[in-house]
Amino acid sequence: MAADAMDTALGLLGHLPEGSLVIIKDSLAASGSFLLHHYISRLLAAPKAEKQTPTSIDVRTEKSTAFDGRVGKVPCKVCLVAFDQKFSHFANVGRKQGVNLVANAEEGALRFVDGISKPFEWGGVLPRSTPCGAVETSESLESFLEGGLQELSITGEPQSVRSASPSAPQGVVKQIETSLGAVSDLSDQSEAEAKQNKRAPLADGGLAIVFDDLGGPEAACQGSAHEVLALLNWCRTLRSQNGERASVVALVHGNDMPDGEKGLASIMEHSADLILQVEPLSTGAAADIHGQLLITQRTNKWMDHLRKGIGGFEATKLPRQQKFQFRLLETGVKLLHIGGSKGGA
Amino acid sequence: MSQAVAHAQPLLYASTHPLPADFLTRLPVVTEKREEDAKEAPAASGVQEGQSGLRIAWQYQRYLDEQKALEERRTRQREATASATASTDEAMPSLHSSFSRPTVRSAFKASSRPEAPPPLDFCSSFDLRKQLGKEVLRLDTVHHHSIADLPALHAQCQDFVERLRPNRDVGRIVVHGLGQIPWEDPAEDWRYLALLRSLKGLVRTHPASVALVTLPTGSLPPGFLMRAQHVADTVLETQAVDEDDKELAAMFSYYGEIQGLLHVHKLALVNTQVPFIPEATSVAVSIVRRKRLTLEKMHIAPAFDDDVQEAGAGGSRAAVSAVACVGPKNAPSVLDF
Repeated sequence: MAADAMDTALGLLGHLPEGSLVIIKDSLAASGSFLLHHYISRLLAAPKAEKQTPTSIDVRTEKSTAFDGRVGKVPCKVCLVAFDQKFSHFANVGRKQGVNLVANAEEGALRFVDGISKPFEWGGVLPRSTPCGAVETSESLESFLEGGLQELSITGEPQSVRSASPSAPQGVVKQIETSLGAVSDLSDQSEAEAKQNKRAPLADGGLAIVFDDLGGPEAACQGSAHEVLALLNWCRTLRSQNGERASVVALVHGNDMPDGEKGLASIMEHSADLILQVEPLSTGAAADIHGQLLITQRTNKWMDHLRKGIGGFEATKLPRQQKFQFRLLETGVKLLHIGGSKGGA
Repeated sequence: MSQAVAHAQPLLYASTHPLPADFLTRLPVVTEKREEDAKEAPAASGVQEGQSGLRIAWQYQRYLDEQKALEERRTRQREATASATASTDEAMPSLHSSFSRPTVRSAFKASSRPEAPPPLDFCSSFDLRKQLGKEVLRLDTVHHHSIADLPALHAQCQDFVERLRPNRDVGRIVVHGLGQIPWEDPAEDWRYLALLRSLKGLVRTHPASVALVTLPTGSLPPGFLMRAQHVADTVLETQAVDEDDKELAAMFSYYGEIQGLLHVHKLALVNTQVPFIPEATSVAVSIVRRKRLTLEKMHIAPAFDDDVQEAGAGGSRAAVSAVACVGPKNAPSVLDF
């Protein structure tokens, strides 16, 4: 499967549609983290989506040149909220895929929120007298809006935030606040360096917020899926400098919970525009094929985004669901049609 | 843990048991060098030193030199791989046994001089018949605590990793039987999960540290166990085998030697996106000569295939082909694919 066709299947036609939610659902036997790396690398290199695309051939030509170099293009800003891996992990994997995340962070195109270094301070293991979430949350949210978002150069919608997340986890917000403090130092440093180097700041494109593990916010919310959902909805209401609403890509572990417990993944699915389900092979682990990927375009908004991006006759026969097998490489991922033998990175 | 004692590396042991020191005293010691190894060593040195002990043709001398160089290179690679693996994240020391070899000195020699660790080879070979005893408790590098509450445990772990000397120590944190005392409050699930996440954060922040947490699967809520597995980098499960399980016994020719099974559910995925696919996700744990714990790949006895074939002979041969060759279900013959 060609790389362009794979990006089309994942909705990577330029930017993600604004305000969209992409849920990556994986399991213990097959990790879906490779899709995060793919989204991050593509979004950081993606150009602004063209409004009118006469044919699919034109789009692909445009996109392939855009991925080769970012000169003259408007890339998307990415805010990576990590609860599972450190920045060095993402940087190392990105480097193998040809994307320099360190340089992107210095330029301000990538913002990293560290949710793993000190989760103890926000993750709920507090003395019983002060359980997590008992503190009034609106103040924290406001301070998060005032402090964090300014540093991120994003304009938010305070009213919709309050209505969307009345009980958003105070611990998570506090952790994000702390992490954004570190990011602000980095952004200040990069601005100073940019002045020194007389480097023009990047023109603002879209904004994508990537969560590498929703289990972190879930633990901070003490299992309240509605609060996690409120957090994601709040993220979707943020706006970048050009007024586009942020899109969210989130990884959630989707193993079926025993005893009939409704897992976080099943609740998230109902709000998602695109669901990417990563499953192991039913025949067991193999060295050549690492699993299979079920892509479900859930909403009409997402379908319109794809049709607009592809254009032409092909757009009229887009399937709602597609299933592929995948092979992971250090340099990327190969999606293979089930039963086919050829694939492309 | 025994490896940490043998190499005089920092070890933190925390347990729900009121007397955690008891478990430490029962750790096995490093195996003594076997007699045959001792005989092989001077023989090899004799070959290297002079030609007098050499009884083979001179033109084969170069093969000996190449073999020696190859062995040295493999030893260096093993040591490098071992140190890299130990410093990444949560892992189980027993998995490292595949690239280990017996060592010469006993653990007590190491324990008498904790400041100057002896030049031991990297090893995972221990004698289960001999125990470290109470001398292990006098080591500066070994700390043990009884788990009173979770914040205290986290504080101990944090203090432990902050004291590690950079580029010198590889700290090992072992939390034994976390959640052994069952709880009824569902909020406790999240407190324990947060502790696991904080431990993960600690070992991520301090790269030369490893955390190993054991959970009793029988007494914990299934939802908590599932989430805990997602938090961990590496998930292993031990399973005891029942001596009276005839179905399982029929599958293995050496069933009597198996002490248990070790299942690999998840392996760490750090700095790469390509997962490591092991040859087998389940290995048999057996004790050799009553003293050495070994991991072996499971081999199905040939007799099991015969039994299946006999059972399938009455009905259809499809079952045999499906088991043996993964052929199509409707294959008319065993040899048809």
